[in-house]
Amino acid sequence: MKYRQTLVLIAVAILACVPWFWGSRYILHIATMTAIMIPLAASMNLMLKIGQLSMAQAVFMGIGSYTGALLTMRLGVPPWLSVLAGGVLSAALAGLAGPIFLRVRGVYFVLLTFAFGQIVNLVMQDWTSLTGGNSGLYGIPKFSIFGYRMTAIQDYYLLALAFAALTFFALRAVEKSDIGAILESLNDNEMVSRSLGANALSWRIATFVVSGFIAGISGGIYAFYIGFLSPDPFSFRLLVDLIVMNVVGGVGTMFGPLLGAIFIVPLPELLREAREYQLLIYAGVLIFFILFVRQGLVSLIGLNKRGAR
Amino acid sequence: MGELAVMKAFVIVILGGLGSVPGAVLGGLLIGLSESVLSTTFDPTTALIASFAIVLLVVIVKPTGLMGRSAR
Repeated sequence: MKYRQTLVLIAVAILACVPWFWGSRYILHIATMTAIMIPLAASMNLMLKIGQLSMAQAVFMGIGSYTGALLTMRLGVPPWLSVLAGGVLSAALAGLAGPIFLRVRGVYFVLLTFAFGQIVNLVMQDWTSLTGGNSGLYGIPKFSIFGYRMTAIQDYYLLALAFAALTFFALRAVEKSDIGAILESLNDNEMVSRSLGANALSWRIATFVVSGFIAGISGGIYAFYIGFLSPDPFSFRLLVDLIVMNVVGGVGTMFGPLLGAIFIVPLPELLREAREYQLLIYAGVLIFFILFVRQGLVSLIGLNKRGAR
Repeated sequence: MGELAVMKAFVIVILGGLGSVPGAVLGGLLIGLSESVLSTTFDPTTALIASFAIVLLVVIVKPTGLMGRSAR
């Protein structure tokens, strides 16, 4: 089982190198967007691991990107610091909302996070003096770190890729550690984990905070890469995409969101020729996976077996 | 297309309680009133924010909705 995982990782690494040599700007853009989406999908997967579908991930990304962009634009904070601040703010918001939201479970948690996300998104649209509202926020400066100013798209690809890899391996490590076992038990049987002394609510809040942080940082990277922000990319559509990535990839392991993002983000681009049928094919793929490949792509490659760790 | 209508219907049903028809009527009345009053006094976005805030509160305080049967 271990060699299969290694094989998949090598394949992904090779795939990640292709855009470098291809060099086309268009391919690089898709690859960068994929690399930005992987941590986001992974953050949603982290919440799914404890049995909660969080509809707040899109808005955490939005908060991260607006914080990152605004701190640098208005206050002249170094970009790397403001991206970090965006992640911390998202995490703080998750920490504040978590104790209230995570008391409820199942569909009610989905509703709560959905309403919360909608409110924050509407505030982004309405607070025009800060965010520019629906007409957007222009002129976000280029990202710079250690005095190096990133202008080429390759730089951003590398940055997004580095964060995606960091998130993936960090979450993999958590998954395999004792903490991973605790999180899994929260989903499987909360009573058992409680009787063993795990504070269920605290663990849930911690998970929510971490997932908010990850989503916030990818939002910051997105803001500096795109250079233009409006509330629209952080709306319901993004949530649907993230859920689709997790369903298609598979929820059980971190390989799920990884493969899901790699499969789903470029899909609309592949279907560009058949513009009218784009949504139809997209929906078809989703229905096919839900009906016939319940465990997602990971089960096709045989990565999801229990005891595979 | 029709996204806003679906979203509002969703909000109303949660507010009234899933599976309860009288709840949907009550929820519709409440949301409709609050939206039209707030749209006139403030602006439509504020009204929408208020609708979601009401839902947020209801789900936190009474997850089954105003007239929903208790889940267990």
